[in-house]
Amino acid sequence: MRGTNLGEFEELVLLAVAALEKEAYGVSIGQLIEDEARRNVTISTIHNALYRLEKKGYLTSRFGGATDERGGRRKRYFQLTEEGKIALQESRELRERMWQLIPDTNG
Amino acid sequence: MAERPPEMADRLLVWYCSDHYAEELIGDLHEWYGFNRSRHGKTRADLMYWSDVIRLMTLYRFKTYSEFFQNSNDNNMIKNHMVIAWRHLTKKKEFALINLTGLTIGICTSLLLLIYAQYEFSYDKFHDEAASVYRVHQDRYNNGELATEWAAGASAIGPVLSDNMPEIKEYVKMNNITGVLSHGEKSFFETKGYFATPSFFGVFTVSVVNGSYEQFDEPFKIALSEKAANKYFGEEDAVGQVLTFNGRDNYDVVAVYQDIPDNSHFDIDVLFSFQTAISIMGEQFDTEWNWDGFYTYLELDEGTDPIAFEAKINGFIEDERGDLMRADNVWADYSLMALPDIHLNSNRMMEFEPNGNEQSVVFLVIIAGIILLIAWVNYINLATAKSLERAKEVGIRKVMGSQKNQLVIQFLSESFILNVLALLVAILLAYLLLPWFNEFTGRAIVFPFSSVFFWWFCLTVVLVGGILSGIYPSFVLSGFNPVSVLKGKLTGTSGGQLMRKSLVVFQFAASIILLICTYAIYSQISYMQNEQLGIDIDRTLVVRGPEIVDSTYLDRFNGFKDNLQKESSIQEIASSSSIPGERPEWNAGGIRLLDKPENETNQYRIIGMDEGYIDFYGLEILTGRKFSAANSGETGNVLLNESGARLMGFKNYEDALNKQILFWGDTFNIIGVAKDYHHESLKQSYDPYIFRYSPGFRANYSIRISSNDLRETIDMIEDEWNQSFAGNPYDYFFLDDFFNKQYESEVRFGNVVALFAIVAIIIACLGLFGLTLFTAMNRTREIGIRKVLGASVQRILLLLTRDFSTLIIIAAIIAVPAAWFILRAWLENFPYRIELSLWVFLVPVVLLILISLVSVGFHTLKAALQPPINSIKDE
Repeated sequence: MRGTNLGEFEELVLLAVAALEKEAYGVSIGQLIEDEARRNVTISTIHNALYRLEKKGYLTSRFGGATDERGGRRKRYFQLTEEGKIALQESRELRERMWQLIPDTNG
Repeated sequence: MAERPPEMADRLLVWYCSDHYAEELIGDLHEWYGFNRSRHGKTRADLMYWSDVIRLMTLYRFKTYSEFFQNSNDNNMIKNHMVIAWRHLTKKKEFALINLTGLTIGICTSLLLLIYAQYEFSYDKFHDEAASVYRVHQDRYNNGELATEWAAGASAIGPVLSDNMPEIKEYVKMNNITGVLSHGEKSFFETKGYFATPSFFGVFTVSVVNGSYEQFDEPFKIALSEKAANKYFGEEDAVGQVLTFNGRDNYDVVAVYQDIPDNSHFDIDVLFSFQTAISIMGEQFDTEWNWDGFYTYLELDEGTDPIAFEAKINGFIEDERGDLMRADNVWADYSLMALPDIHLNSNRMMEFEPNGNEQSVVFLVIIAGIILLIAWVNYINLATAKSLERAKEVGIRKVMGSQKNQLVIQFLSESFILNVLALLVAILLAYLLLPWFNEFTGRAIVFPFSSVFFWWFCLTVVLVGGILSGIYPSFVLSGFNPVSVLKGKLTGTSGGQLMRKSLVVFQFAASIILLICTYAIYSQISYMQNEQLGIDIDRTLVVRGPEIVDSTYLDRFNGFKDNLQKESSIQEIASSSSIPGERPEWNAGGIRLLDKPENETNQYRIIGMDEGYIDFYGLEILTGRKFSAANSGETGNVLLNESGARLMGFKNYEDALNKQILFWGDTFNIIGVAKDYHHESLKQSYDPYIFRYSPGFRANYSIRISSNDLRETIDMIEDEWNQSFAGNPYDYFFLDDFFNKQYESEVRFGNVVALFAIVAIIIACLGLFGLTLFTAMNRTREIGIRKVLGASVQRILLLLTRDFSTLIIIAAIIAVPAAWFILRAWLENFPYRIELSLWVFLVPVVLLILISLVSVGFHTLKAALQPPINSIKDE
């Protein structure tokens, strides 16, 4: 089962890519995680994670067009692949199954 | 964006990062930096930026090799420089080889020399407290004149100072003791044994590996070096064992300490607890002001100024002992020497071992520098000379748009490549040569790969060498005017010629100075070794007298002597307290004529001898008579040497006869005066001696052998020895070897200078060889035409060698006075020295001219002998 071993941070990045749809690039992903998870991230960590995920086949990327923003430098946009979606799904299902196993503490 | 992230970080990223990633990364990084800046402020944002750039340095983002080298023109050019440099090296193999050999030899020799110098300067720095430990030196004066300079002071000085000066944290006191130590069957004669206070282990960094020195403050305790412990006990545990000293006293081994490193001014095999000495010899071992020979080391509180403290000591001595000493018309001055300075700066009575000399080490460092310079000069010379050949290349490069600084970089990189290559070969060579070099210098140096100094040397050689030797040729080359070069109009500039010539002069001047020094040093050594000593030390075997003896000693000695003298292989035998070739350990002060006032005493060196000594060594008696065993009461008689008689105040030696002298409470009668002879090496002047009669003196037996079969005779003496002095080790040596050992340091120094003279000459001649090769090649056609027009071979030879001969002669004119100054200063150290005759200067100069003519001659002759048709038909 290649690729089911998603790290916690990697999972967050994948979720952020999914949430941002077509607007997912390094900075926006970082900001989303900062806002939602309320923790500081560094841009190098994001990029290194993105690279690993792309290598694992969960993400693809393309360059956006040159814009007037940021000195005309292009952005690299990321998108989930089918494998990526399955991996997220599997991870979520795993968690839910595990939750079921916990005895109900209230009674 | 108003706020810009650190530019250097961006540059770093662009430099390493592949273009595939750089654009998006910088975009994202800058955007992120904007947030951080507003959230955290500039400093923190900058720091985070750097950290991001560094953390993005993962392998896959790096540029590939081809990206690195294809992207910029500069990188391209560097690659091209390397290629061209390599082609030049391999194309002109002779020149490359000459250059490389010269540089390698130069770097290798100077590396070895610097390793040696660094080792000499490293002495005693391994002690943790090295910076605050001082040795007390003592100068004794008699009648206002400096009489003796001691490395070891009076017995009281350490304890008394320590009691009275709060600045002294601890003091160590040591006193040499020699004798036979035995454990069961094993006995050895120990010369490196010392009484020492327990503070030895705290003040010096000598770690105890087994046992402890806690009990070292009790009498009859002993501590052994690992080496010594191994000698007596092998694999057994030494601590708790017992060693017997001179067959008399038993000592408990309480500790085994790490062998003292070679770069220490003392080497100690056995330490006897100091309390032993006090219990045997009494309290005066700690309280006597007129008993010298006690090494005293003081550990001072941090921040104590040694100079001020020295003054304080002498002030204290003045208060305590000034009047007493003045009454006797004697004086003692004390000075401090820092522990790490001792090895190179102290040359006093009773040094542990012969010390080095800072001057000669500095001299060697200077030689190292000069040799390195000579080697670089070679490179400069050859490279500039060859510049003519490369003029076309430069012209074309310039026409194609090369900037001057690009050309400079090109030629610099060539010299860098050559220097790096030479350095690598030189390090390998030095590494292989080090064992041999150690034998040569008498040191045990390990190659200092891990020392900072070594890496500094490498860096300096590459940087300084690369730049120094490359800069001049590269400026000459890059300065050519492309138009005239391409038209083929280039001739050597006169400025360049002058430069080259003065460099050759410098090389040869340095070589000549070294050669003259070598010649003079060897002459001085051979003068000292061959000069008449005034005594006969040939065919003499010396046996160290027995230490384990009882009341039957004198009978045993007489039996031993009689038995040996019956043998036809033995000519004569004598016993004495000291033998020629060493400074007599017995130095006595407070001696005066009986009728002189009490404050007119002096110090003399004393030799105790039997009736045979004077005849044995052939001392000449100027007046009076020698000792005779037949006279009763002979032990109350003494002889003086000339210096002794003069110090006693006799202008006419006859007047000394039958005068009484007072020597430590006893009176002695002078029965004769002997001619001065060299008891020590010729590095020392004559000292005042008193010869005392003492039959069978136990320290040394001198035996003159008349047989040619030495082995058999030595074995025969050993048999006799074992019969008479069973249990004592048989320790013998030949006196002429022993005597010549005194010149060991000079011989070594001479060898080292000789070696470097040879190296300097080889390098200089290599350069000359290369230059002639070049001139001969360049002037082939000229020579051909000259021959066609009728020039003889001799004329051509003269033409080609004239330039170089002139240079060598100029070099000699500069070198001779310089060498004269250096040698005069060096020879000042010797009371008996050679005259600096014309020969000392002439022989080396002529020798060098011959050598250089040979190296010039080969190519010159070849060029001159060639039939002209060969050279003219070209083109």
